[in-house]
Amino acid sequence: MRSLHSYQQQAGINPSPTGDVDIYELLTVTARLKELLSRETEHLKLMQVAELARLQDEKQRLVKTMEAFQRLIAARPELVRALDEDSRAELAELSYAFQRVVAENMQRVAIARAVNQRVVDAIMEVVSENQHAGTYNQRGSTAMPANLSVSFNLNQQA
Amino acid sequence: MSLSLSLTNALSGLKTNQRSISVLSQNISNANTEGYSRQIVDQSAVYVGGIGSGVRVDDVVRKVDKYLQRAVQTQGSEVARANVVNDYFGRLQILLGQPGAQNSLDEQLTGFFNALDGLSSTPDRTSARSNVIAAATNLASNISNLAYDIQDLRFEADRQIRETVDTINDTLRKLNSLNTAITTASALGQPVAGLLDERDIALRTLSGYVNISTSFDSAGAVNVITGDGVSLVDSTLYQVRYNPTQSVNNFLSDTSLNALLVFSVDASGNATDNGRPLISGGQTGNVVSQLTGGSVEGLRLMRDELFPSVLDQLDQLAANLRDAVNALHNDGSGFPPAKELTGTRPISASESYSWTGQVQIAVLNANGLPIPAGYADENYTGFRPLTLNFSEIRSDAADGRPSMQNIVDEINNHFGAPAAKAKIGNLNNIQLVAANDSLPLNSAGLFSFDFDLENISRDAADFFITGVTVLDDTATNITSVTQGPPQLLLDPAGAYTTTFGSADVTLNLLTPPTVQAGDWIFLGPTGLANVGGIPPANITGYFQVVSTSGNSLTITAGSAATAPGTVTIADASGVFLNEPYETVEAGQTTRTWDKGDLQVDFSANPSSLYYDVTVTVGTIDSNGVVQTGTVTYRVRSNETDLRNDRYNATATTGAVQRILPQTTQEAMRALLVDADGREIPKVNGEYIDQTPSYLKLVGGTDDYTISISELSSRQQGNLTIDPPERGTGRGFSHFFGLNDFFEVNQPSASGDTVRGSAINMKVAQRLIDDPNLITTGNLVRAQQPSDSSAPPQWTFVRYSGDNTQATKLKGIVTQNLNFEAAGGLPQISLTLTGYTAELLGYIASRSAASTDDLENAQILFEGFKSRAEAISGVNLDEELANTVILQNAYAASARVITTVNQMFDEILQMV
Repeated sequence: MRSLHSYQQQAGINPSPTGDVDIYELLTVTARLKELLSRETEHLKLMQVAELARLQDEKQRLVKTMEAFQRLIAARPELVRALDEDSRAELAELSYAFQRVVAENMQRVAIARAVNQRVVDAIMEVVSENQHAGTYNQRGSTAMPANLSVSFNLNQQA
Repeated sequence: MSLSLSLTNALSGLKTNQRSISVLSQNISNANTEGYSRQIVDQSAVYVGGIGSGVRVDDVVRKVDKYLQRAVQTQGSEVARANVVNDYFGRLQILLGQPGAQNSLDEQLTGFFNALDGLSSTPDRTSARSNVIAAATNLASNISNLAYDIQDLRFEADRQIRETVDTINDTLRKLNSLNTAITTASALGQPVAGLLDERDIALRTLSGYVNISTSFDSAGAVNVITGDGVSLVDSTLYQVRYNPTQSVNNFLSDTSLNALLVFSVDASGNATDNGRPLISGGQTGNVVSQLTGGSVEGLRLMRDELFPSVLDQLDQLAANLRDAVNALHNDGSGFPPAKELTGTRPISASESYSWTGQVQIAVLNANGLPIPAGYADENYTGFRPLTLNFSEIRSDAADGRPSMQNIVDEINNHFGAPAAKAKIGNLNNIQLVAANDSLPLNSAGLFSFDFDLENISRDAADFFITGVTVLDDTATNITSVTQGPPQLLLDPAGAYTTTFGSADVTLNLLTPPTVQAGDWIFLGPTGLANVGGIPPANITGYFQVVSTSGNSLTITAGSAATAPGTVTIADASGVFLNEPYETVEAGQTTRTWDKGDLQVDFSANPSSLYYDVTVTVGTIDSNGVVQTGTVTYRVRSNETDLRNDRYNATATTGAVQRILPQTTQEAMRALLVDADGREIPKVNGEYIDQTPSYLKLVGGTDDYTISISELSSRQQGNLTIDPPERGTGRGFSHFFGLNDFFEVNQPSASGDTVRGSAINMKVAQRLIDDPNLITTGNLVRAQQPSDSSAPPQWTFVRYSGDNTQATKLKGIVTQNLNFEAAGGLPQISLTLTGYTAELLGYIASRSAASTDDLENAQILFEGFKSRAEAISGVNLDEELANTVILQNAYAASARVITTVNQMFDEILQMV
């Protein structure tokens, strides 16, 4: 498993010199993710999928960094027990704001997916309709081969 | 289907097609690679099997373009539907008010119970009573107005449906004209682009009202059908018609709605067929819609489903509030209590129901104290309440299932003008009660009867009947007892066993006795000269049981036996032993028919105008004091409707005193009245069946008041019919609606209906007129004399400061009530405030959901619209690529939610 440090470097965030959880780094990552999701939402509102695609690499990096933070905090809770009152308030506020952003983002992504899926379904339907020749050839078989499906793998982690 | 699976299928299908294309067509060499562009594919002509049929990819593109156009229409319908729903929910939210606002339902409910709280603290203050009425009136009118306003919204939605009809018809006419124009222009080779644009706008307009599906014929004309296949546009002109509801009152009375119909019409606009329904007619709950989208469907949805759902919930709230308050309000009285009570439940004299338990009805003076007793010997106490035991009332239907006439009679028997009473020992009165319903002149035959016994002493009383004689109107003895009191027979083979020198005699019976040592029995004549030397006078009469064993019991005779052994008798007839016919506990009034009726035969002189029935009775108190005597009752022939009639003593002998009343004033009268308060006519002393009749109780004088304690009384419906009719389970007063706090709606025998409870919610007018009638307390037994040897008080009083019922009323707020499933809320046990919160929360969540639906529908609409309008056709590559992008974006966002929420939760919990 890669370290938090490596994810931080990959995400362009300066790691804590001690290697411990730095609450400000966490806030920075969260804020960046929040900002990215907001941008993503705006593109989704305009159905600008190509622009959306350009954000995905950064989104993946930030998510992985967050996941690394989460694992570290779960394993070493003492690292965050020393947080002062202000940090706690900032965390709570950020958490609340973040949840609103991510909720809207999810809604927009889901709707964009729904539109896209219906179009794909329509394509599939029309293609499927046109596959059925409905006639026999001179050899007494249907024009379409029995099974021409092509198997493939979709890398969703890309 | 998941997106991935859908995607897989789509790609699989497409690639299959692409492969077939690549195999079968030399024109497309690399359809699965970069060369697969829209421009190339659009130009491809693909042939399958060399015979000219097969797949044209540009056909796929064209069809998907059409699909997008249709999707825009469909989604436009959905937006219109969601828009209407959201708009009406917004208006409903305004009606409900803001949580905590003074006019909101929850606040007014709280205000009502706060006022009851104040009443329970100061039940005798007029201001506290007025506060309750004011708060209740506000609450009731708020609920009623809310229900009315929702019905008004339904009426508004109905009116809007009518208004859309004109626009729909204009659009249908336009589309019909455009079809003609496009077909003609196409045939003439003229440009049609402008017409097509116009048609597109018309289709979008139409889809805003109803969800439609379109197809195009070879000439370019569009055919439009609804989602359910009803034609709206084809070669024929169609028009929609709807006759709206005339006023909101039609919704209040749930009048059947008219159907929204599509007719084919001729050039003059006249219908040429019977029409097909887009929305059926019918009452609420029976309307069926063929539509799934469009503003018309949104309006119908609100009119026929969503608003009725809210009304159902509101009715549940109102009905539970009303019934819970009324149940307690009927159990007790205000102070001073009411001088008369009139029921609100329509009944008829002959209808009968099963009842259980007892109800107590008292007549008190204006100070809540008992009115004077009817007899001088009862002056130390007062008029006692009637404790009506329903299981003891006999009726034509079935014992324990009295008719309304029976109930009226029982009340009047108790509270009517007093007559001579027969008093003996601890029994204050012995009344004979007819079990026969008639005794016709000239054919009088069997007459059955039992007794009504009252004990107002401190101790129980054993009551014996030891003989019955009958004299006709010529004083001729025509006694023929066909059924006497229950007796035990002695065993002829060994009736008496004596011991020389002992007065103890063992009586051997044919069946085991039910008495125990210490109980009293009456021993009939032996018919013997002596029993072991004990003379007849010393071994007949009342004896206390010394011991029992098996079929025998031992008594102590009046003298010792002079011979031992067993004495036999010729036969058992005429030699009997009576156990107590009835034991009447202190303070109890009871009927005896459950111990067996007595029956005499008058047929020796069936034409006698009357019969004097003389009953030999005896009572024994707890001290063993035996008192005996006779009571004579005059039973007149040629009478009908006798059942339950009381006969008062006309003569007495021995220890029985015949005491005349000191007044002829009735304490109270029960009667049946019509809706205008007029008494229902009677025939032979009984009310005719007239519906609706209402039970009315009226104090005997202006100073008399009436107070009712429900005790354990419960109306059980009619259990003798199949299927059994479920009763209301209500107490006596609540069933008749004698002292309701909230008025009931559409009262019926099977209980008030829930439907319409909200809109009819209203505080009883008599309480508004006189807040003193608000029930605050209940009957309590009068204070007992300090002298323990003095006779007890069996009277009941109503204290002005009694707050027991007010306290119970305010306690309703914390009680869990059973709310039936209504309008999407499940059957649930909650407090009234809890259900109100549930109701408001449900509406709020539905309202929020409608906003989300609208927003989502709008976004989807915009999404399809931008897809449809962005380019002239769909780009298959782009769609497939987008699928991957969106799937990845979705997966990443899901990870964000999981990770970040979990992490923040952990951090915030740690600190």
